[in-house]
Amino acid sequence: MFLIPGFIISIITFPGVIIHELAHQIFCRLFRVPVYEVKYFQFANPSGYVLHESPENPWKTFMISIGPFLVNTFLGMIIIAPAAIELITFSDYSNPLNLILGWVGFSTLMHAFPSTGDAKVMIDNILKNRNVNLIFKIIVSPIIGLIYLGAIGSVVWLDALYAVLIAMTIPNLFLLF
Amino acid sequence: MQDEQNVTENAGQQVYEQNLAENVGEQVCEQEDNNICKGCGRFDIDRSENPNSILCSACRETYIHYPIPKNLILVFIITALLLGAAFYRFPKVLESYRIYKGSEQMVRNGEISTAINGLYTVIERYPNATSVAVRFTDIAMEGGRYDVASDVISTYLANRELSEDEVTRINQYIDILERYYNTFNAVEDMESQLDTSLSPEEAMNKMSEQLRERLTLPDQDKSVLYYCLFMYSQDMNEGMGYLEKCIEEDDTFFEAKVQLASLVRRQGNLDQAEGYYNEVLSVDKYNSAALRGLAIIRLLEDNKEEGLDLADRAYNLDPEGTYIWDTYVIALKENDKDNAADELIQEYLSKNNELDTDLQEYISGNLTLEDYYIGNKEVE
Repeated sequence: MFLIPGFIISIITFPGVIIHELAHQIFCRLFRVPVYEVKYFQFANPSGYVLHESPENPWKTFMISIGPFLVNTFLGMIIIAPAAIELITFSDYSNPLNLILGWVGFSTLMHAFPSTGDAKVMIDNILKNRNVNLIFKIIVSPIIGLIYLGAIGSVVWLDALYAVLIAMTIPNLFLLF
Repeated sequence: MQDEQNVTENAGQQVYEQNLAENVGEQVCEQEDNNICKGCGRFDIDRSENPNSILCSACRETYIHYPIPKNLILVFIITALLLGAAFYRFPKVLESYRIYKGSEQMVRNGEISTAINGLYTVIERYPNATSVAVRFTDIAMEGGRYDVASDVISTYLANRELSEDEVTRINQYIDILERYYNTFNAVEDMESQLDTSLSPEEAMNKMSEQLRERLTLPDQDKSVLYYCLFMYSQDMNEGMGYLEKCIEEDDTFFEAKVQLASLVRRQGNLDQAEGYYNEVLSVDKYNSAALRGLAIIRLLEDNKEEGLDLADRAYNLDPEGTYIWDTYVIALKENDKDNAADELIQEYLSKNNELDTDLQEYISGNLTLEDYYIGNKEVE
């Protein structure tokens, strides 16, 4: 197992960071939550963030937090789809277009996992919120657990593994049609 | 401020909520009054949508529609254009992928020829795709298509990086192929070195004797030697024995199976012959020799229509194949399609060809279908 500092990975995969933050912003807009500040990418830690109003509705908090997972996964799949077959299955690296789309798609998928920061927001606004009903808390708890697992797993390249799995799966989905 | 805002940030990073809260405090709030909007500092806070709000209704709308930078939109438009270009050629890529992924299923469905033709188009398009070349080789070896396997290995797998398992497997294939071709070459050398003064019968006996001697050598492909022994055999039963041994040595030697089926048919055992043809067709449903053989069986069983259909398929697949043209003409005749048969015959004769004596006899009505296809005739 070889380790690369997170900020270097963020720099290399910056398109994914931008889309991750944009996803938070889009979900804020969808749920009418004011956004105070967005840093799509910076050469610092954190490499991106969205500062927004704390929604009263826990459902909004939940959706804003997992927004990047949905958006990055969906966009990453679309971006990487035309390139994945030639790059992964046919080992054809001669087409620059494929290399660009492969890089953007892979970066996007790698940053699909919500961060520990996102999970913390969910803990504060959902689990610790007395106004949220128990069933919703029970449903959300394992998801928060998974987010932490994903964040911790990124140390052992879980985010990259996720990107590879999606990239390898998407061509097979096309075969169904 | 801490209670009134959230920071959602990128994965794997630390939370800087406190600092950011202070930043926003500087940006949006210089007022102490809790009821005054911290955005404009002029109007009352609108808490109708959210009790945590720190903004008036106008500022809320502004911050809800926090602008997406124009250059970011430009980047997305460029990405969308690149995607469009990539998707334009995607159908071809997907078709190659479909062939590659479906090739093993095609083989299971008896469509090895289709799989091989398809994989050839894929490997020619992606010559560096070792995964395709390895699967292609597996399929060719499984189907006894040694010509294809050796071509793929030498053209697309030489000096390529493979996994340990793949290297082991390909090396095993290379051993089989080397033994196979070395044996064929040795037989060719034997033929070329035959004494030209020998009579055909003496030459055949000499070849058989040398082939039998070769059977004792360890580095020879016995299936090839048995098949050659069958070719030089002058006795039908002995020839059948060699073919059976050939198939025992190499179950994918389909040529031997088709030959054996023809001999069995000549002995009048149509069921056994059909069994052999079906064995071949289960692996390669487009094997023209087996289709032609099955056509004869159906004609002999008086199932003329199916016989013609099978003969037609064989002819369309390989019009130049051994005896395929003859069988097609006979099938047409048996189905009272004399005009179509005569057209084929005229076309054949116009190319300076001559009709086989037995076929002439059949056409003139002096030989029945049974006489033509059952009994001691020369090996087909």
